[in-house]
Amino acid sequence: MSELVLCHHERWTVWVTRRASSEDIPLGARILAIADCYSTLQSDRPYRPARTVSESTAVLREFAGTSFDPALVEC
Amino acid sequence: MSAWAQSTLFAKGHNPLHRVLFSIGSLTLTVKVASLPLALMMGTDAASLATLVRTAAVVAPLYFFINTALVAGAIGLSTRQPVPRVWQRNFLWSAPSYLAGAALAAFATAASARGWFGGSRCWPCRSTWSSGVTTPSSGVSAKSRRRHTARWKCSSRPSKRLRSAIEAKAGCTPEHIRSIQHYAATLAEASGLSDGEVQAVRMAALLHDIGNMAVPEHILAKPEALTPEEFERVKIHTRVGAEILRDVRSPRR
Repeated sequence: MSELVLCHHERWTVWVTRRASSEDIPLGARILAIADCYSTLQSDRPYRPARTVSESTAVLREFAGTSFDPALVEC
Repeated sequence: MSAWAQSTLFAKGHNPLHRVLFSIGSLTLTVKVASLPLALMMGTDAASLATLVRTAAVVAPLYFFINTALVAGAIGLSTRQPVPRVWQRNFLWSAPSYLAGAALAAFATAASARGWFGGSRCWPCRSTWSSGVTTPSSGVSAKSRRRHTARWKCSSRPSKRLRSAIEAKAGCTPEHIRSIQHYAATLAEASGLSDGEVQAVRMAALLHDIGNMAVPEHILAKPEALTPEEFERVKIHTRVGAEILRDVRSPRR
């Protein structure tokens, strides 16, 4: 769990660049990154209103393969 | 540190350096000597109430005697008065306060060991969690799996309290935390993880920003864009969170 918390802001491409395999980001941390982003997009922020479900999904798809594990985004 | 604070902060007048050093030295010596029977009598396991009372009954008078005798000795020698008289007149009356302190410490130890503060004893769990489990489409090395494999327990009691604490600190809503947990658990299930692993992801989702405790609230609550320095400060929350949770994880080697 400690490692998941440590890695939940690690981004897919950064990790791929730095390491041989992006699989080194624990699966749980890859899941948390997506869940955190998806939930945040759907809540109001001082700088923007909440996004709808379809808008949030579109953002996840846009960043699949760069910020997020593409296989998980398509789950 | 405690002795230094007692001798300097809010002290009446200025305490010379030798007095401050004497206070630090005498307190250190007292704690060291008094801790000898403490370790012998308590052992390493959670002690029973009877053991705690017995230990407090031995350690408290010992601590009181060493602590006050050293100070009374120093006063007696520096003012050329008989040490026993100084001790009897200035320190004997304070004995009950030491006993009361020991009773309080024994109670706190017993309460902590029994999880009355909602401590880590509520955490032990049944599930085994392998965060290195891979998505169906990809493989993961045995080394990576070993490194990411951890085992711990979870129950709902600490998670409710933690949720409130995290909400209060991070300024996020209960709905936000619940939805992160929901989405994370849904993805974990879709990835083919076991029930225990899904529970573990749910718990990690609750705790993922616990490291925000180390980030000042004015930064967390700032509506405008963060300065580079503030952003650097926010970035430490993952490392702090991992450090806080380090003992919760017990890797299976």
